[in-house]
Amino acid sequence: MKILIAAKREGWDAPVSDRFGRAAGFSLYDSETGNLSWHSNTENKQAEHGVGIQAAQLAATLQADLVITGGNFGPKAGEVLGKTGAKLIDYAGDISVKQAVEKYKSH
Amino acid sequence: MQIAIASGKGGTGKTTLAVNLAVLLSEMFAGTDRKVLLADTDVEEPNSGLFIRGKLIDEEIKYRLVPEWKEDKCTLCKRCANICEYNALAFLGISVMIFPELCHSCYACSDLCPEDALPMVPHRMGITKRYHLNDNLQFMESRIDIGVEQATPLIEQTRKFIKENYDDTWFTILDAPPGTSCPVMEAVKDADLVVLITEPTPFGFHDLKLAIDTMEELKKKYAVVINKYGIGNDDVLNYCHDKRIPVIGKIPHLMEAARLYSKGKIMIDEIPEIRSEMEKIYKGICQLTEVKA
Repeated sequence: MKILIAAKREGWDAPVSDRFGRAAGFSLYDSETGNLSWHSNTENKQAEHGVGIQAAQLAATLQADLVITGGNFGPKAGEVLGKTGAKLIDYAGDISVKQAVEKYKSH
Repeated sequence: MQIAIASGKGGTGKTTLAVNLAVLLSEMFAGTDRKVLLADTDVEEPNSGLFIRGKLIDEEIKYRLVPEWKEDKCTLCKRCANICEYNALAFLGISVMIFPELCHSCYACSDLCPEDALPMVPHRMGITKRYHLNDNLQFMESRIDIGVEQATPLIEQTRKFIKENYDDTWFTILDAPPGTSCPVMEAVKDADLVVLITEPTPFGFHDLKLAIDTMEELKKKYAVVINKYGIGNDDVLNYCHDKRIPVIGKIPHLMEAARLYSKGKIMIDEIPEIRSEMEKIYKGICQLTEVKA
């Protein structure tokens, strides 16, 4: 299973981001390898419009099964993610990437 | 002759000036062949029509073109999503999603798609209405549909509509959208003169400077009118004086003007000071555009 977490910075200890489209980046956890990889969102989050769509497109490209954000998903991001079939967790709370993975990997 | 009434800050009196000036001119030249058109191109909130009421002549639904994804032709090359400057396309690996509200109708995805899988199809964006007030005064407005995010394509079509339908008009007064971004830049394209209306407050002054920068960038001829003159300070006046920007009118700040505005009434009929200021503005416009008054 692949879990994509919107995060404020790279690494296991980073806090989950309450923004989705405008998160600093995304950590992808792959349960098969146990690896955590970082996908920076620096360029995309500066765009005026459609950042949620781009972030959701990244989730689709990375084939995430579960997508987590600390806040909510915007309507357009939600529409795209709905098509990918990924499970969505919003309002994950004030937790770290590691805690988010621990909490939701059994989903 | 086309005069656009614009402003940086909203709520400074664009509509008040546009409507009162249009009515004044139509009265001045009643019975002559000097026809006046008032055109409301502030499509997101056209409110000139609240002050003048005419007989509806006709209306036209306006469309813009947006790509439509043809699944049977698409080879999932992702070129479209990579090209789109406005994030209006999402590539999902097995499909492409289009967000018409983000599309700027630039045709890039459609033209550059190697498989012709993104033909452009019409999407409704708003409506243009034409009204007849009297033999010397015509009114038209465009109104964007609720939920449509891009105002500029409708303003562009409105601009062309004015060119095509009101060719014999002597004087067109255009109520432009506020701000300094694409909608106003599109609206003033055909104007011979842009009148920037402001209020003499720090906020009004700040946004006036932005509007002036925009007009300089567009190489447009422009002049300033100060509304609610009497409040605030002299910064606007001093700035225009220093920069040699013509100030062609100062509309006084009057409680009665606010009262008439709130009732949707024309001010020149009831406040002589405002009528004489409108006449002064008209003369200023004539001087700057070399129209014979």
